[in-house]
Amino acid sequence: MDDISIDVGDELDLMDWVPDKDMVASLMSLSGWLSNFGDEKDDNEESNDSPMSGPNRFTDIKSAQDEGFRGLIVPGNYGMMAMESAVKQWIPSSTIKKLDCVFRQPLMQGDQVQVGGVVTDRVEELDKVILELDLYIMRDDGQRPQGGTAIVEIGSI
Amino acid sequence: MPETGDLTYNKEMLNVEQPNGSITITKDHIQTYCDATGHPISQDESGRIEVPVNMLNVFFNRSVQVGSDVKLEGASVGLNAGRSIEVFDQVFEGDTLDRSAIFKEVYTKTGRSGTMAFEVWEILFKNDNGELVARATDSMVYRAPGKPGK
Repeated sequence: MDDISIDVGDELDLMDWVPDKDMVASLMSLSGWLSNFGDEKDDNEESNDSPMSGPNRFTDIKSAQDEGFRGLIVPGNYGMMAMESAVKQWIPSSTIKKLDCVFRQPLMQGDQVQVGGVVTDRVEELDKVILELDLYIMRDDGQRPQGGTAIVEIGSI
Repeated sequence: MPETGDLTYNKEMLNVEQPNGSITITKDHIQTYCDATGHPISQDESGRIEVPVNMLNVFFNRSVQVGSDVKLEGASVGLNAGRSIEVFDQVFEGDTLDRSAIFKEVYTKTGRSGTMAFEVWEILFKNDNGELVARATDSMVYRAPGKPGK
């Protein structure tokens, strides 16, 4: 199926995703969240640590359990990144214009989930096709801890 | 049901746009992001590497000079409840974006787990010409902690 022929009701190829500790650490480093973690400071030096530079629910099991989680969790917005990757893998020529996502339940680090979705609307314009998709992350038990909608452009036709 | 009490916040900062730094997105940043997420690396016709839309979420930052100071008595856990990102122009490797943050809204909801406070921020990404290239909207929820180990 070529990208332009995608229509309402077509479903994304399900993408397996395991948001593990290394992935979380890599993206947190990119954000600068871990960049100054553990730096030694003089007694009178003001801390310029980022909000997540100390032990937290993403990097420290005790912190996570103290907040009521069974293990380390994944920052909510990382699920959006998996959704975008699933869309790009399914429709390589697409560009996401908008992605809106609700984080209903936390994702646990190391848990395997699947990322999927369905096309809910299709508009053909002069030189492009605009798709609306419902996207979700699904656990083994069928629960969907994250869901969202995306506006995706495919051009030029 | 966990008990939560009064909601307080800095009303003066509602809808005030505050600068919060700039970022230059390098090829290494994009490579690290794509390695971690499985996102394919895309280039335009001239060979410039495109920045994945959600990579801007990595650079979401609401550290500002004057904060919202949202406090819901008894709510010690803050979690990300949702986010939206809208892109108006493609961003490429080497682009420098100025960020600014706006405290947009705060409200409460009460359910089975007690009263929760939702705090909404908007982050604007602008290019060298001051044009808005992307807008992210983020919602944080504050609630009383759950039972440990769940």
